[in-house]
Amino acid sequence: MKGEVEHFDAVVIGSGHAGSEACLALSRLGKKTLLTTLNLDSIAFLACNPSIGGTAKGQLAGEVDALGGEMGINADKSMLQLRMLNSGKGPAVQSLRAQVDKVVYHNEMKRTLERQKNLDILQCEVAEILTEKGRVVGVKTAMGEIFGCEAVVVATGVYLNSKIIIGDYTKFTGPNGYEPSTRLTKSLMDLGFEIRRFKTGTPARVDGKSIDYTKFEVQPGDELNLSFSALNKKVKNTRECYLGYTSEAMHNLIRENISRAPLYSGKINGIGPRYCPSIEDKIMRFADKDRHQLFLEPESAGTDEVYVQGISSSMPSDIQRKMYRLIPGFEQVKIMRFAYAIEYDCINALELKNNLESKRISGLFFAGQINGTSGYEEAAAQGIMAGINAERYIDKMPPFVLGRDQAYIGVLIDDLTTKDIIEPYRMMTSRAEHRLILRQDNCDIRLTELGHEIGLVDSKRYKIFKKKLAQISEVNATLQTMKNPKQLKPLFDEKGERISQNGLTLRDAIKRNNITIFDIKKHFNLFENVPDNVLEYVNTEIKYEGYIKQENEQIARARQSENISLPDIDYSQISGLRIEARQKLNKFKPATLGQAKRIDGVSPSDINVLLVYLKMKGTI
Amino acid sequence: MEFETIVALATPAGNNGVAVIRISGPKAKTIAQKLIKEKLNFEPRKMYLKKIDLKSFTDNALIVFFAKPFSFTGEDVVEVQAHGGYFLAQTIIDCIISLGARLATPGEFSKRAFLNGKISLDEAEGIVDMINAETQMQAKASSELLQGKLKDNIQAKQTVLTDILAEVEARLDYPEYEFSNLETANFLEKIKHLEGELNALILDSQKGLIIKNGVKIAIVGAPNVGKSSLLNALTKSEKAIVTDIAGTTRDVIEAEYLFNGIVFRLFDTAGIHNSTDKVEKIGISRAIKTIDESDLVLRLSEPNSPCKVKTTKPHIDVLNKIDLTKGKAIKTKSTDAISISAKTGENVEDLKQLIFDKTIKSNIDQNKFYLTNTRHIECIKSTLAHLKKAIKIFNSTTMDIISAELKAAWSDLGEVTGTTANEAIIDKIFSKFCLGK
Repeated sequence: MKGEVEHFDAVVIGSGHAGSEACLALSRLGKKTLLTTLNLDSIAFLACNPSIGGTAKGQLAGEVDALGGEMGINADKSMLQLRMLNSGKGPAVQSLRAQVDKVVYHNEMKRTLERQKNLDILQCEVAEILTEKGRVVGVKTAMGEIFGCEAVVVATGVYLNSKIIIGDYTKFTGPNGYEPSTRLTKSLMDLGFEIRRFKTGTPARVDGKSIDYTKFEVQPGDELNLSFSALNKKVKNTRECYLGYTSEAMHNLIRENISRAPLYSGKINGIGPRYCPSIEDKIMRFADKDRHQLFLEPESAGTDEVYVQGISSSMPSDIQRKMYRLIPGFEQVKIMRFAYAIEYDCINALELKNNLESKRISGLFFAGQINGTSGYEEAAAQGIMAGINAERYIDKMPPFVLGRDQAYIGVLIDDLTTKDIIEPYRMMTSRAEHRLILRQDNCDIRLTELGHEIGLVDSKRYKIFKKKLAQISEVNATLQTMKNPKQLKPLFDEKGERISQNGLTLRDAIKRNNITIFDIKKHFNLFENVPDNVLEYVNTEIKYEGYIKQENEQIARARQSENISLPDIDYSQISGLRIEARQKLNKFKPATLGQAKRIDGVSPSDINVLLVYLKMKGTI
Repeated sequence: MEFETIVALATPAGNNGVAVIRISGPKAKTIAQKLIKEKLNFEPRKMYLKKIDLKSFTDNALIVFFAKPFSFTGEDVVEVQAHGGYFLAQTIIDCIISLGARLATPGEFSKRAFLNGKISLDEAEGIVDMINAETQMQAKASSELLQGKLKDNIQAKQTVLTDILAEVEARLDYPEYEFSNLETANFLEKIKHLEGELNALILDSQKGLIIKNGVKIAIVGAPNVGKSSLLNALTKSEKAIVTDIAGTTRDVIEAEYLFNGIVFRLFDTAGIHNSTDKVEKIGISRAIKTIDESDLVLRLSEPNSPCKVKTTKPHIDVLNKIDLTKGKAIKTKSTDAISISAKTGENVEDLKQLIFDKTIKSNIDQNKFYLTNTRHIECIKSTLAHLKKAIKIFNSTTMDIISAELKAAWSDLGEVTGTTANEAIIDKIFSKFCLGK
């Protein structure tokens, strides 16, 4: 376009966890991409927890990895400790959680981006998104430079007009003193976007040397024969975390000074997440609890700074100094960075299609916290999907959309684009209808073939994947072996299981409550060269076979209507629909009949009316 | 497009001579085959007379198969033509649902007919109206229902389940919250309690159905004690043939009357005695069956001829023909006996009151809540199935699976209350648990 400094296929605004995945996906798929960032030192910055994963988030990160993304690989490069959460609660809710070195995490991601072919990185503030006839044509920086492009991915995170709050002290700044983006909001408003204000917070960072660790319980990593990324083998645990508790004295101090908490004095306007309350919020809302858990997590191997998980706050600095010292083991603690709350601008993701593109402006994609989510993994998941879909938009290919029954990524984007999100959205396993299918141990089985078709899965990953598939069928074949009662007796006696007279296949033996594939491996000297994660996968598939089959049947039934796409209809014109359904459907404009079904207030009868209507119009 | 297999009554609900039950969808034939037991090759558009197996009993029915696309809906359709009456039709539908079909929603047969090109575009407009009309009627009915006891009752039960689910889900999504043995035992206790309550609701729903579908009364007694006359006196009609020749009534005759807003359905039976007449013998065996299916038995007798028919069912001893005795009628105060004259109508109104007291007043608690909507009953039955499964596997499997069963139970209950959005559970988690970084 006229006056442009350079023309790109795509521009990605923001270099956080969404922006990094988006620009990598675009450039790896062959698109000439520009990544703009307010500060090169903030690439993939872990502004809050120094950790990747957690319940449901571990699955999201695993799915990003399975599609050919970078988050898992980068977590492995910066790993301090790896754990499998919920190991006793069942395979559907087990998730990986990595403690990572935030300095290394940033450095490694920055290096990966720098070395990526087709990708330019520029420190600048994008002030305006340029459009012509309802489609994106470029961006303009605060210094007035113009870059022409076909597609833009907006991934501004918490940096849009962000303001931090510590008691009476407020400052327009991003996390860690990084500059906020102050011009882009206006451009988005001019383009017709509804701007909302969300809020989140972070705890203090304290000096590890000032902590009396003897008053805490050690939380070591798990001995796992795996890593975050399917590309890597076992990672080493090098650091420990610690578990501690707040005290009654601390609660009293906060109660006495609650009028100075910005949340209660009215200083904070943004809507904060209920799942991540500050300590003052916890104490006021859960008055009957006399203590709360907290975790100490190392920020980096190269620093003494410690992250105090559980004690996020926006209390004034003098109160923070006193209250942290009332934690047992923190008697002499020295705060290095104060806890703060942060407010930022975001859009209403209902304005997006299920490929994360604006419904009104072609080629304009959004990913991450600007869509109302919170969390690195949620951001990365949207980032890779926005990147893939921006590429497909440029190359005039159909969108890549994952179903709720295929991936947590599908649940996430479907929720964002069809539901009223009124607080920062965090993924939880309870949000997924089919969590027994969406497991941590089968991310690659579910998605790597798709990633390969798209072109993001490189030959190395694909080879590893194919090898895993071969090992799975090999193991399954071995498990068909029949064993007679005599052969089974020692194992069955040891595990307290009764042997049937005719003997069993090894597969059927695994179906017994007290026997796992690892017992079989040990007793029959099998699977010597098969990695544990393959055995774990096969074990789960056998033990939960009945339930998995049941879920797959449900999925198959639901898919029949799920995939019927809805054209742009004015629902108020369909007389058969109830008034509430007309209003809701017009508000949410679902892309498919499945989405329409999930809207609260749309009844099965309304869906029947819709089906008849679509048939009448000849669209199905 | 392939749909699930659905079933519903195709004839209007109520007391028809014949009830037509329509099964439509890919599994129609398979399900019908299981219903019949005997191997059938289902030649299209041929009518078969077959015994159908309804688990607790069997009955004869006519079976017709329509192969797709030559059927009303354009799918495979099996129609079962059974004897009339609500209970039988409902039993057959329940049985078909248990074999893998689901209850059709309003207008669903017509909708499928349209989607499969069996109905023209003009007619389609009408279908939208029909779905809509039924929905509005339903909405009105359900909103009236939901105002009252149904809402309170089912909502309370769903709240219990929401609480349990929130407790379980919070522990699944937040690893720092563990399940203690005490807590899990407590969950199981609560689930069992809920199961018991819902079970009671289903059992009670039979009573609710009495209100909706009428009280079934069998009149029994020796030949010529005046059973037909009594039926006529109660219904004020001449439906039964009344003669003075013993053994005139050889079939079970149905008539009904309304009392205090409740329908009472009378079944006059052939006189029960040792007969050698072939036709009469059949009538007698039917009479015995009628007694089994009734809610109340009227044991009719005449002076000097006590009723010899014994029954374990609730019953009233009715002494007829007091007009023939010289003295005034002996009015007993017993709730189990009364003297009347079917001929003059003496004490017949008192008998009606007694029947009402014995069947409705003593059984139906006016302040209690009864399920009467078939769809609601189906939803609760399905809820129960999931709860039973959860209880069964509670100690042998992991919490993620148990939670899946509880969630399914919760959704089914939500079909009655209208709360099915996942957010309801997540909201509860946040309001009850202190979570976060």
